[in-house]
Amino acid sequence: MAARGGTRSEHGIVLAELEMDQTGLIYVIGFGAATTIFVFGTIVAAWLLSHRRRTLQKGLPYESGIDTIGDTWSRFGLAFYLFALLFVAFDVEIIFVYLWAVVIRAISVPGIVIMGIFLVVLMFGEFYAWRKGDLRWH
Amino acid sequence: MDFSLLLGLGRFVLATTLLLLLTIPTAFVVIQLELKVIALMQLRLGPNRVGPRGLFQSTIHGFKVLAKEDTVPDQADRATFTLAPWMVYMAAAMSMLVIPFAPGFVAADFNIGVVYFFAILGLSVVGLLVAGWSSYNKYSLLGGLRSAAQMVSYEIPLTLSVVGVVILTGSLNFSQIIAHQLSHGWNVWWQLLGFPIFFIAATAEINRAPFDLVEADSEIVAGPFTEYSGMRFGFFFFAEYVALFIMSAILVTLFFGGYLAPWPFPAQLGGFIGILYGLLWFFAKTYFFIFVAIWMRTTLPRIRVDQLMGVAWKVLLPLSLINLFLTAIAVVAFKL
Repeated sequence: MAARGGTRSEHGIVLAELEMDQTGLIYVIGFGAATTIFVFGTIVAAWLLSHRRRTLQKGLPYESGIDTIGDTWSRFGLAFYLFALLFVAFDVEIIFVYLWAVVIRAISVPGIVIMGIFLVVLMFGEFYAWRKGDLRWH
Repeated sequence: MDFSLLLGLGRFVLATTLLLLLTIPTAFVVIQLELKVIALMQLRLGPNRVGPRGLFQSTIHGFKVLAKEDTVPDQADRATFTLAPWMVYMAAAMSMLVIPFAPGFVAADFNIGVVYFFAILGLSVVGLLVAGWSSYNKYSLLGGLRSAAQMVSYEIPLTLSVVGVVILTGSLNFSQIIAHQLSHGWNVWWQLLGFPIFFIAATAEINRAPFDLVEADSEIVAGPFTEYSGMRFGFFFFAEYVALFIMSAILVTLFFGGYLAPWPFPAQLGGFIGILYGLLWFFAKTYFFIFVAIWMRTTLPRIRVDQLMGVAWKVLLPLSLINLFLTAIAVVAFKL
């Protein structure tokens, strides 16, 4: 994962060292653990430091002084789902584009044509959503 | 005991501690800068009471937050309410792992650094969504959903505009991206379309003005943070300013040569002097772009929520695809 000092082939592709290097994984997990300790340590420290005086009003939801009407965890706008769906389609595609971008010098013109076809098909979906008016905010 | 293992462990502990410690002064300095720069641009004095010329105002703010009462709404989902600030802060802090501060001065020099960075930074969406949902407040819920829709939409042009840089440099490794800029000049000159797309999308991604709809006070109070107080709110605030620093750092690394000086000499200084020289340029460039972000906040009015999504999907996405193909064709045609 974190093989350092890869060599360049004649096509300019970076060839990673083939041996599996686990150092990177240790860094990610270890740093995540350290951050977790830092965050919850600070929250606990703040809890010990701060004063606490619960009143009924402090537990109520803040909605500009007006009592909450109806259930908060109820239905909300469909537009959010549509953007999430579009995002999933494009986010999966981006990982292919990244891989393609790294080896572009080796695959040259055929590579560009193939990626063009792929993206045209993908953009067709985007234009469909556009025509249907899903990209408008309502 | 294997000596190299011990050395590796020592490096890990040192890198982790340094990075975590760096986030604290970074947040204080950026907040102080924001208070002071906005004040001067509005012809006010700004903070001038705490410390010499008000220098410790943001530090005092930080300690104040630590001592504040931390309330949880009665109907909130307690577990997720506590987890949300952790998620947002972790997403910001963990993306610091791959930032090259100076030659050889990077915590983990991944081959897939660019992918790792955007993957980890994207996790903060989950934190904001969880914060909005768990608060049991309609403003929070709407704010959380709105911020998720915004960040998710702008992540597409953000990541696609970086593909231009990846095509140019042929690598996903941040150190090699900088090494390429040493021999070919800064990427911004080769990415005259890619850079503005990245800049706009990055501003939206970290919810800075003019895209600060998440915290549009007049519409949804404080968005997903409405019910938060004390240190739990502090971590959202903290993460926001760390994210501003990280976005500027990545922008500098990708487009403005990272730790390289603006002129080609000395090409690469060795040893300790080289690291100090690299750090100097890295922080100078990064803080310049933080200043630009603050400048934009005082200058530009907030964008309307109905225009927000249109900009991402109808303008920036097609433009970033055009930029991608132009770069690819140029690289193949001229053997750059």
